[in-house]
Amino acid sequence: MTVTYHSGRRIQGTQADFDGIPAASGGWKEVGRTTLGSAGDTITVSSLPDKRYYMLLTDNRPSGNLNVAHRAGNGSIDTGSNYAKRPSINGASDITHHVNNNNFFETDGLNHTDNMFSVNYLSNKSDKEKLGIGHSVRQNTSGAGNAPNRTEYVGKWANTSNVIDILQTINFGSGDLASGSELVVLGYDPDDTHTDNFWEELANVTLSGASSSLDSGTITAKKYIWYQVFIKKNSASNNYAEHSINGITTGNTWARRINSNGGTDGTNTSQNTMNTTDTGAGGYFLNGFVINNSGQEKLFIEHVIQNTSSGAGNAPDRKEIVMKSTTSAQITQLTVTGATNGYDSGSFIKVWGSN
Amino acid sequence: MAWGKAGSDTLTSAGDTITFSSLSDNRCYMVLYHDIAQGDTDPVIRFNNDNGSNYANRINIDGTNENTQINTVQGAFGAPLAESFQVGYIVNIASEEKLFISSSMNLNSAGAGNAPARRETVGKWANTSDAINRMDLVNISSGSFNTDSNLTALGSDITPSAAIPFPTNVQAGSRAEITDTRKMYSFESALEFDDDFSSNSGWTYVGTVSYNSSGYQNLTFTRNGNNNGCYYNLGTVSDTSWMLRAKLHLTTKSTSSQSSFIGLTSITGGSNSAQDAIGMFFITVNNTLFSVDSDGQTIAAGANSSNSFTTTNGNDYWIQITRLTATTMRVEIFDNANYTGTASITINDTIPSSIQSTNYLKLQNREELSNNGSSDNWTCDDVKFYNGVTSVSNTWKEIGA
Repeated sequence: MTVTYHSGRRIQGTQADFDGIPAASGGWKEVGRTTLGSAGDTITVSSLPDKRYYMLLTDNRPSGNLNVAHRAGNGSIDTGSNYAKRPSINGASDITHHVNNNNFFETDGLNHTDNMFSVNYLSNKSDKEKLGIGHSVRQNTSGAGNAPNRTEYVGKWANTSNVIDILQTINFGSGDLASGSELVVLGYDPDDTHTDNFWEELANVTLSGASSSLDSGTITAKKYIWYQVFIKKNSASNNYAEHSINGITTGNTWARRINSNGGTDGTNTSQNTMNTTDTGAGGYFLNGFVINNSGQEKLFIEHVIQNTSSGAGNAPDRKEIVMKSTTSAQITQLTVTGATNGYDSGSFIKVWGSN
Repeated sequence: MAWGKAGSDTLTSAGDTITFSSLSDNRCYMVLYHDIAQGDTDPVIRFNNDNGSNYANRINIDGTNENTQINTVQGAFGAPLAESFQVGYIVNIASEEKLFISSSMNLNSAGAGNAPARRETVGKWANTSDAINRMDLVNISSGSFNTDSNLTALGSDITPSAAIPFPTNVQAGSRAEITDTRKMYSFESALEFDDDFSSNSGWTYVGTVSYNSSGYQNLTFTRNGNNNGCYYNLGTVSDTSWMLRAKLHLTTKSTSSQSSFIGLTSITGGSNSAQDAIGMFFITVNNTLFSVDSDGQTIAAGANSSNSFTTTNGNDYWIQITRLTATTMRVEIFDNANYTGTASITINDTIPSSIQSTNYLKLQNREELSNNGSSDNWTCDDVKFYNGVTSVSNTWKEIGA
């Protein structure tokens, strides 16, 4: 009911009106961004507000050799040996000798000359070490004949006296970060009351009956895309999640790297569409991010839970995947396809994005 | 719809559970936690307070050990042992098993000389009848989650919006008629207690504190090991918002250590008794002022944040103490009776929400200190108490409640 005003200084409304409608605060909000206008070795984002959690999106483009990592600081970047990290490259054993280091969040630690995209999270409490988790994809040599590389890593900045208010991407390689390279910092704090959101919903499609695919429909092209897919398997004995973009299912435009249950990474190249895995009888859920730059290969980072058999007596399977598509145009449609009527009612695809 | 805050809990004291409930039904959740470990912790997740054997997990530890757990009583979410951080994603459909993907880490041992540890986890809650309406991050190891540990869930189906309060930009004396509950409210001052000490009705005096018939309280806070003070029962005081104002005049301050308290407490007894209290605490000889937030403690134990503030004999101080929320308070001292301009000192503090039922307005000494013959000598006048508000503006008060 709407509050109404009457003569005699009388106001009428329901108890719900009187109690007030509470705020619904937004999620991740952009709190800083730097995009290089010319080639250089650092991308610095300063004057960050104090947020309990940060989310970092990086778009690293090479001009010569890159070897990229990150640094943090308060007031200025801490270049001291106050960092430690644990990366794993392409599913190989973790590297643990990176202690007393002058950087963290190393996205692969290797010299390379290809585009890289990473998604990272940081905790940020002034009197506690700053803890970070990240995943990255590197496109490798261009073309669908070359599977992308991936790195998963954790790191920390062992500062216990200040919050982070400055972050930096730094290149230790012999080349530069090319113009257009970017570091975007999102912040979230439990005390936030803003109603903003970096991530704008682009598609939200739920099947009302059995179907062979989940299709976002046409979405607004955004530089950064976040998507989630849930597939409830129908009767098909084998049911896959074949990814395609912009309705393109020919031309051998896809390559991937996949790790299943902690085993050795596998690669697939020159694929028309990109299958990630059997969807599992008990449900399939994936979380993915894409960097979606026009004229460049589209780089994907995915994590999947494959609920092979329902019930608490069956442990699910997991996949860590990076993919790339050589399609030049920006993604304006995201589709996942399975067997004929292989996806049951209730399956959904959600897509969010931002520039 | 977009991502928005679905739930969050930050511990105000050490414990083994971080929880929130009454979640709206979101198809997807993004969950973050930061476990500030006190000793060994092992954070796990439970949904809807289900601690039955209804979970299964697959955990990769440091890229090598891949482990599975079935028919277990919790979701494997975090990285155990030390302070840890986690990011996870959950799909939440009532009729389907709830599936989650989690990446977590712990700092190992403190310092840059120790590489952190990490886990990649997937898991499920094999419930196919309920949407998630509650999340508990539970420590199942010997230590505790320390103060300021946080669990947060963002929901995918939230439309962020500002709060819409009931109107307060209305004339004094306005009446709200609530059409469904048949309640009525009057828009009037929240002033519940106003004393210029033309009498001392309702006040109780202990020890060296007394009433002066010229119209003020005569506060001789003698350090003699006894309780010296006075109190007034305000009735039921809000546990989330109130404001206290009073004029203090410092006649002579002590020449050796002595302490003076003004504020609201949960008991009538002396400062050395366990009590809930919110207020301010002077040590005049040291030119020191504390905010007080005692949670079942002595007053002195609740005065845990030192601030420099110089008091001068013969000066007046208009003090204002505000409980802003269940977990925040503010102490201010002004130089004028209108409480205008910038305060001479402002102390903001976070406080435990478990400080409750502070129904007694009290002015008293620090009881437990041994006799050294010194005294703070104050007078107090013009006490005003506003209940249920954080300013002196009008508020809606239920008629006939």
